[in-house]
Amino acid sequence: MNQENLLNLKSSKGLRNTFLFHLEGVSVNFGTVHALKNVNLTINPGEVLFITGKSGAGKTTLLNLLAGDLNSKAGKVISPDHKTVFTSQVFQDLRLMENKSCEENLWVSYDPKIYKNKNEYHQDMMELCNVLGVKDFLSIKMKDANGGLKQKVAMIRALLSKPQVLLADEPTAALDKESAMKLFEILNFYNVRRNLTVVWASHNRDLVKQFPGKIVHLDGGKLIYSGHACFI
Amino acid sequence: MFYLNHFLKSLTSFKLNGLLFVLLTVILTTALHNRSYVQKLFSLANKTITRPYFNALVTNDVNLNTVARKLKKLPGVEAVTIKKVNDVKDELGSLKGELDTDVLNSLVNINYTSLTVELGRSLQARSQSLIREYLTRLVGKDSITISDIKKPKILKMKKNDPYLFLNNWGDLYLIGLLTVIWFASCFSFSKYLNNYSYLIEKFQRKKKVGLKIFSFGLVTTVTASLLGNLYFNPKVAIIEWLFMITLIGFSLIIFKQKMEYKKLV
Repeated sequence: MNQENLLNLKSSKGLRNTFLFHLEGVSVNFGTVHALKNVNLTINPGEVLFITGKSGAGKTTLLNLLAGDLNSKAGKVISPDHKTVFTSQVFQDLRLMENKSCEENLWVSYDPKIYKNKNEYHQDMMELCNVLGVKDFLSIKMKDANGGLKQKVAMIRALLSKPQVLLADEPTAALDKESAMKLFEILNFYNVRRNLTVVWASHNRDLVKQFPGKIVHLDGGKLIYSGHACFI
Repeated sequence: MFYLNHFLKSLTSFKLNGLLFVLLTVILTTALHNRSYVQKLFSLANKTITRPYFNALVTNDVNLNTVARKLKKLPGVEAVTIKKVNDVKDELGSLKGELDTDVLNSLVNINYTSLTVELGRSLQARSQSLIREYLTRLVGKDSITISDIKKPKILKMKKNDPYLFLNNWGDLYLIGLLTVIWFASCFSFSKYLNNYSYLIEKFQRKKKVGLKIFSFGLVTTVTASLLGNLYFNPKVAIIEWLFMITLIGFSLIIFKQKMEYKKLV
C-alpha cells in the first residue's frame, strides 16, 4: 500500500476529526541545557509521525513529554477533554527484565481490563512473535538474547498493551534492514486496522523517508520541519 | 489479589532483597509484639544474685517442691530455686579435670538435686543459721549437705555502664536498631520494586502500582506475622501495634513520589 492510498483510507474513515496531543510553545530544560525550545505540534489519531534529528536534538525528550514522564517548563501539552491518552513505549534502553525470559517479559503487558482472558492474550502474543520471528526464542533469558531479539521483544510488549499511541525511540537501531521493514509493516497494519498512532524517533532520516508518514525534524531542541516525508 | 500476586512475583524476582525484607518485617513484628520478653532478656534481675544465699544438695527421695514451699513461707527467705538434675550433672561434668575420677563417679551415682536459698539482706547471722537448721530438720540430716552462707558484693555500676544501659533500654535499643535495618531493607527492596512496578504501570492501564503492590504485600506480611504471634502469645500490645502501623505509614512515603525507571547494577 503506497502513501497516497494510505492517506486516502484514513481520510475516508474520518479519523482526523480531533487531535490526540497538541503542543503549544513547549520548552523543556535540564538545568542549563535546553532540550526543547518553543515546540508547536499537533498529533492526530491514526497518524504515523517520524521524529528525526541528530543525537541530542530532543527526540527522546519529546517522546518522554508525550508519555507524561516529563513536564514542560513553558507552554502546554493539551490532550482532548484533558483525558489521559494511553501510550506505550519502546524505550531506547529497552527496559526489559534481564533475568526473565522473553515470554515472561511479554506477559508484563497482560491487562485483564483489555483482554477477555489469558488465552486471547497468548494468541495475540504468538501471532506477533510468529511474524517477527521470536516464536522459537521465547524461553531464552533476556540477558542471553542478542540486540535484535531484545528490540523485537520490546516492540511486541508495547503492541500487546493495545495503546492509543505507540512511542518508539530508535526501534530499529539493532535491526537489519529486512527486520526493520517487517517491523514497519506490522506497525502499518496496526495503524490502518486498529487506528494506532505511531510516533517513531530516529536519527536515520534516509530510513524513515522510505515509509509513508509525517516527519518532524528537530535540531538543537527546535522544530525545523514538519510535513510529509516525500517533501523533505 | 492482583497486587498481592505481583508482590510474590517480585519476591521471586529479587530474591535476596525481597526475602530479607519479609524476614526483617517478621522479626520486627515479633520483637514488637513480645517486647516484655525482650525486656526480660536484657534485664539484670534473675541473672545475678545480689542477696546472701546458700546452696544445698538434697537426695532425690525427698519431695523438693514441698521443701521449697515450706522454706518460702519463712520470714527472711526471699527466693528458693531448685536446679534440674541435668544441670547438676552438667556442673559435675565441668569438674572432671579438677576432681579424682573415683570421687566424680561416686558423686554422679548419687541421685541428688541442688537447691539455692536466697535470704533477705537485713537478716542477722543468727536468723540465717536458724533457716539452715530448719532446712536440715525438714529434709533429714543424712539427706542433705549445706554450704556456708555466701555474701556476694552488691554490683555498683556507673551511670553509663553498658550492662545498666541494656538493663534499662535494651528492648528499645534492639527495636530501634531493627527499625533502622528494616527501613534500609525496605529502601533497598523499593528500588527493585520501583522498576518492576514502572513496567506494569507503563504497559497496563494502572496507576500507583508500586504503592499498591508494596502496601498489599507489607500489610499481609505484618498481619500474618501478628496472627502467628498472637497464637503463641495472645497478649494485645496496643502501643507496639500502633508503632508498627506508624512504620508502615512512613514506609509508604517512599512510593508516594512519581516512579522513574532506574538502571540497577
